[in-house]
Amino acid sequence: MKYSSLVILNLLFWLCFCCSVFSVAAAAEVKFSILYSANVNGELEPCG
Amino acid sequence: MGGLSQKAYTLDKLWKNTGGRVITVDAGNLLFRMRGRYGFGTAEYFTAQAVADIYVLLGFDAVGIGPTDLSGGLGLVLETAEQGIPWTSANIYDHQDRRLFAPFRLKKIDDLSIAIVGITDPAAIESKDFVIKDATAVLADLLPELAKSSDLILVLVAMPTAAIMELVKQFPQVDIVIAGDTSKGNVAPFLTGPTLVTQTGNRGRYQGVLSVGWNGQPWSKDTAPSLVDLRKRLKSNSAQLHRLHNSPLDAASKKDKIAQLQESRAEIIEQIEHLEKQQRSGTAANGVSTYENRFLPLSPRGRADPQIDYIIREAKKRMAAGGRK
Repeated sequence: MKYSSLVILNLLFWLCFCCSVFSVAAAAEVKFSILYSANVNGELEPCG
Repeated sequence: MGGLSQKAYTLDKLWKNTGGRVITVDAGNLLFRMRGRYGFGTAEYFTAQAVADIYVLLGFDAVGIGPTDLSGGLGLVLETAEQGIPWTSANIYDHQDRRLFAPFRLKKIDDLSIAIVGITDPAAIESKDFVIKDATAVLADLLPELAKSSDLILVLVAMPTAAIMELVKQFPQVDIVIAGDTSKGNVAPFLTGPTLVTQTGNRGRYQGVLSVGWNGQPWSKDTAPSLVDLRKRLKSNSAQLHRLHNSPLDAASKKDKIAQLQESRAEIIEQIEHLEKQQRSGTAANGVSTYENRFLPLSPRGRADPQIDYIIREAKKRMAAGGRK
């Protein structure tokens, strides 16, 4: 009984450790989009 | 109606597709086509007011002030700032040496702090109402502190590309430049030193979309979309070759076409191998920041936004009435 509790605690420890490592790694990169433009030149409806 | 109406529709769609993980910016030169003096009552002035009304609704994070934006006078730009256009310029001052606009805007995405700086071309226009200071001096003062408090610095600047490259060479803190060189069309992102520079062409015919994976490391093009495209081309090439080999045409007439396809096939395979190698050695090993760019056409016949259409119709009525309100 004591032995199996130790095994479960050990497993929980490694599970938490791995989760924290991976979540830090995932947070390292931030994904987003830059929607950009320039030189609309007073054109409401450009043609051509 | 297209144009700005389709721009509104497109921005809204992109916002929804990305879950709002966007920064919306414009490098300037939106109000007028030319440098000059356009007073109240002219068709150009009414159009500029309509463009400004639409830009308020589009919900930009920052808008740079280009040389032509000052063609309706400083009053029009200040007035439209009060209406809600987030005009941004670090180097436009009054004669008491006070900045007339916000020098930068801050935007947060997750924990990433992004500073958007606006620079106006000092050679733009001369006026008794304001002074456009030298961009180098202003950035030298502004950027060191800004680099400490933000993770990514984006600069909006509408001036000739050569001048932009000369400017950013002195400031490696700048990560991205959204340019507005009126002599250029769409310019796909390119690196000058550590800085990524891109712009859309004239007359608002395209919406630029730069998808970024930022981790503070130097830029590298996201090779994944190019690889997908190349593999599709390879598959199509293989199918064409297969069809030609099995076609009833005589060998002599097929020879040239087969040689052409085989040459093209070798080129595609070489490009795939090059990109795969880049992926293995670059992105994976060094954890570089990645980007992918698209230019979406905003044609006059594209999907529209009813609210923007209404503003455009009203502006046209005012212009047709010869400026009578």
